[in-house]
Amino acid sequence: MKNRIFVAVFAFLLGALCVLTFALPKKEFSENENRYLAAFPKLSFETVRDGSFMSDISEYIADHFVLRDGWVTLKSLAESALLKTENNGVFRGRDGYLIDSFDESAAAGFEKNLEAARAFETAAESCGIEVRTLLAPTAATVLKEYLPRFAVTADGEGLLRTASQTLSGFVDTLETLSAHKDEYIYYRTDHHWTALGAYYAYCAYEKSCGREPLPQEAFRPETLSDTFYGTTYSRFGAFLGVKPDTLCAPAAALAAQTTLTNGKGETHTSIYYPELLDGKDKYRYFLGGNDGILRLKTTAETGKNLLLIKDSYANSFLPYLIGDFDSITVLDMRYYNGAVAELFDSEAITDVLILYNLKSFCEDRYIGFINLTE
Amino acid sequence: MVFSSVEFLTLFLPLAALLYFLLPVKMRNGLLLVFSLVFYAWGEPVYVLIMLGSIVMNYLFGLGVDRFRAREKAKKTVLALAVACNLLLLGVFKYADFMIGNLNLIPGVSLPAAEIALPIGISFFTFQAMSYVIDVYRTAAPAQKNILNFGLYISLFPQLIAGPIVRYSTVADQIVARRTDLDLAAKGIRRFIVGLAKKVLIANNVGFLWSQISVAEAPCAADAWLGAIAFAFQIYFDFSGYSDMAIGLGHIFGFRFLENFDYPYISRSVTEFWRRWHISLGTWFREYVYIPLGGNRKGVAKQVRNILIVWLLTGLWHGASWNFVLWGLYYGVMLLAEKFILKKLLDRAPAFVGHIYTLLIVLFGWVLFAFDDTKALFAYFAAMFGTNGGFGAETAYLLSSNALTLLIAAIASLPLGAKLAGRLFARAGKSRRGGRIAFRAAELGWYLLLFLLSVAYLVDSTYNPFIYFRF
Repeated sequence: MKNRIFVAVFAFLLGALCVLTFALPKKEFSENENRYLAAFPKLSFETVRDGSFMSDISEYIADHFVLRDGWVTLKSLAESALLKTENNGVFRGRDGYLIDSFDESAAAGFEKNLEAARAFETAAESCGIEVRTLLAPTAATVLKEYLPRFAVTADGEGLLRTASQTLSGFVDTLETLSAHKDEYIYYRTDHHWTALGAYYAYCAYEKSCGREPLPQEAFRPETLSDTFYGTTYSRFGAFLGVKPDTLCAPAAALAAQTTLTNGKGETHTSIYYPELLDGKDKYRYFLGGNDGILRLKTTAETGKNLLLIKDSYANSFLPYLIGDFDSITVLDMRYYNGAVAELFDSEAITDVLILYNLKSFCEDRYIGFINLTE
Repeated sequence: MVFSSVEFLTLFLPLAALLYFLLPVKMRNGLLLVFSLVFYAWGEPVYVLIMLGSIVMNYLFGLGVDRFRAREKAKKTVLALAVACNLLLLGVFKYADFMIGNLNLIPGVSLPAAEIALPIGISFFTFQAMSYVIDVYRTAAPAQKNILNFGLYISLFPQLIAGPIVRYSTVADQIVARRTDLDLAAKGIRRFIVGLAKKVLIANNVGFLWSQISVAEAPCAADAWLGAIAFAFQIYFDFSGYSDMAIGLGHIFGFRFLENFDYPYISRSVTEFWRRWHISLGTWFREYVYIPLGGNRKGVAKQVRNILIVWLLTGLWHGASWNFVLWGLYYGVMLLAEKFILKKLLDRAPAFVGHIYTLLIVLFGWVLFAFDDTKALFAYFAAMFGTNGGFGAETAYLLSSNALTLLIAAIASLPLGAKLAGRLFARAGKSRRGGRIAFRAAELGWYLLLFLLSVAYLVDSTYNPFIYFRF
């Protein structure tokens, strides 16, 4: 009698979780987490025998769990209540900064990739092409004082020092970014730098090439959205009480005559994709995301052609380079599987810039493919 | 499948419970058997055949023992055959590579590894199967003539992959006939939720801390101690949480299994610790190994021998590796030391001495348990004694972000919560209607909170290991 309500509540709850999780319409893509959700696995003798059906269905249920975002938030709140400052590899720092963690284990691949960059530099320079390598420190290194108390990160400064001693064309950005650390140079809810952070890095790059950087006003920064919630926000999972970011971009690049051609030959007349500002991942405004290869033609008429080997940090950096090069060939080694050496001739490359953020430079498994000798 | 997974909570359990209570009583055992086989096959789609083989084999052995019940010699032969076959099964699937590895240490011997993956839960269900044949032999229970009922005893999903090890004589009647009722189901749900929360909210969280520290190259002393404490909490909350879930699920379907854990960390001696830790395993070894060997009835020398044998086997049962053997013997020696020397001292000492002594012995035991690589084991012990310095760069962070979790774990290791709930319940019973309703509502709220938090941690799970894959 007295237990009737108790049993009924839990029987109802369990039944509801079951029915709603399986019966509700399914999303294919999670805007919030910026990834495709698991599809219902194929049922066959093979998939059952090797157990992949069972593990896939487990993933399917977790991905399509009823009110998934609510559960994620609840967990994040519980973690905060336990005085934990890290959730899913993201620190909740001071002043609303959700900072992507960068720990020792993430730094493990640094040496191998640095060696690949060094070999590339030597090989390219023997062809008379100047190589610059810009490894952007992430917020975990520059915004150390914004990290929660006692939080531990890998020694980003040390890694950058090693890189500067190894590569003759190394572009140091740590100094300038650190000098401006209290400005809005990193998004609070995303792992990228802001257009302002990219601008300071641009200045360092120009100086290393012996050019005078243009003043920031010349690029006419313009606010495009003040409701940007990025990747660290999604991963941290606390959807309460976090202020959104403001997305800015240099509008000057809009006025410039540019043509952007992707690997499939499709062209676009701007490096910006305003229609993507309506989506969740507003950073895709720059270049529309990450393609294997993009060819950008400008009207700069400087006689220089740049090969930019990069990760997504370069997407918001690129707008500043439009006046410096006649063409920019943008390679994302994660998605590009052609030979890099062939591009030197076909695109008449005069300069190379390798631009990664330090964390992805350490973790990336595809940088080795820039090898020129094979 | 494991209980602490989204597929168990949203698919398996609702379906199993719904169908169970819809079907007529006669068909319920069949249903539970089918669900149990699916439960096992979910994680071991091929090895489920081994379990089916074990069911058929031991069913026949049971009938054999029963048939020869009047002929002592024949009966004994069948029993010996049954035990040998079960041990062989265990030997092939659990210990083959361990034995080959050790044989290869002999100069001139070089056997290829068998590379047989360990079927989940094989140690649990093989021990249950042996318990059945032995109980029938001892006429502690009649042979089960219905193979479906017997199959259910071996494969029953609540205790299938992580215990408790149910002795046949304790559930023989329940398999044939049992009553389900609302109060028992409510009790079962409470118990299940407590177990789920122990596993998902506490064990996984402190386990994550341990996983961070145990892979560190050179942990400082503070980190090493923190890690050992985290592991001690992880294994207790994981294992006892699993037993709670098993007992709770059993209640929902009308079973009453014996308890498996009884607040082991409040013990004042190692002897007491083992009366409170994994009780069903200790009972199994006492009933089926220690007492048949003569127990303590054949003189001190034999008793010492018997204790060491039991603890050697107990160690080996936990995994096919030397550190588990060492771990078992470590406890064998400690228990002997207590029996003959320390007990008197401990009895006279103040309580806190016994508590601290026990916790230290158990903590070192867990470190022994945690590393199957001897080099890493000694390095970790050395780290606990400061070879890498007292404090490291991460100590403050690890401590500050886990202090509250560890405090909760410590409090939950004590019987305080259960005592408090019991007292409130007693008071509510005596109070007016309003008081009773308030108590009921608060209770419901508490269990809802635990359940919802557990689900949240499962849906967004970053670390949810199954740590008995070696048992």
